[in-house]
Amino acid sequence: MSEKIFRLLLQLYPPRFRHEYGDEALQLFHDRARDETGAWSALRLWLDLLADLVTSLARGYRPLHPKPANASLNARLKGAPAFFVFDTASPGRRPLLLGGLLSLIIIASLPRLMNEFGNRRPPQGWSFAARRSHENQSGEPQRPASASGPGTTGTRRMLNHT
Amino acid sequence: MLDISMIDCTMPKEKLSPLPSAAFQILLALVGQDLHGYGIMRSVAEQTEGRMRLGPGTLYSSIRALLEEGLIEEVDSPRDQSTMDERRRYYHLTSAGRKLARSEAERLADLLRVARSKNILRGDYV
Repeated sequence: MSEKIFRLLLQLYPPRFRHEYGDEALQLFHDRARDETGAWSALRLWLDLLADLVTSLARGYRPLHPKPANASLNARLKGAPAFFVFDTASPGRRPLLLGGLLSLIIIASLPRLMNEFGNRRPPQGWSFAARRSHENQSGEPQRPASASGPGTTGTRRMLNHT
Repeated sequence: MLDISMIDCTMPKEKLSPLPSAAFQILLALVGQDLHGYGIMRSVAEQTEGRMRLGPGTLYSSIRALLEEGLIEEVDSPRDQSTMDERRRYYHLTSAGRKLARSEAERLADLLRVARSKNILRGDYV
């Protein structure tokens, strides 16, 4: 199962990297999975692989030659478009589908995660109710809770006098 | 307009000036021993006390850049290795690679001297 997932992730690497080092990368994964046993080690292995994937993708698909883009500044001022050249080979249909699927999962799970964290209550010691009761007991002055509090009636009275 | 002849059809290779940390660690791992990819990864993890665990992308793109610069070379697997190991690619540090590793170490030593003279270090450093 984990090998299948790694094979799918490997599809996201640039084609030339896969061609030259795909087998060795798979062998490296096998070796690490064999030697690093246990839940924590497995988690660390996958975190390492994901971090490596992100940095490798950023490096692998970055512009090949920034020079043409820099050199075209004059041309850009004259209205000609500037081009950045990424990897010339297309990632292919499977990596694109996989990338799209991963993006969808992340986007779809965001509202759920936000709900999850939004519904969490703060610890009891820090809740507003506990703070209010503490203020009542200590006799500290309280702010008016609403617009119909004593402050507003006082203001009305002053307005009537004027 | 963009000149088509300027487009390189290869993958962007890792720049070695300045020498990236991963490439320097790989050169150090290959001092005195020929290793395959996983061996290099383990050696780097050991020499950095687990702080640097090279993933396949970083490891093999660094290896590729070092091969292209002639700092390491592919060699046959040692004869005493198992048949599974024979299929692996082994890498050997060239004299140019050793020279670059030494100059990088000297550069870092100079840096350390400056840091020590500024009294910003805590603990004992060689």
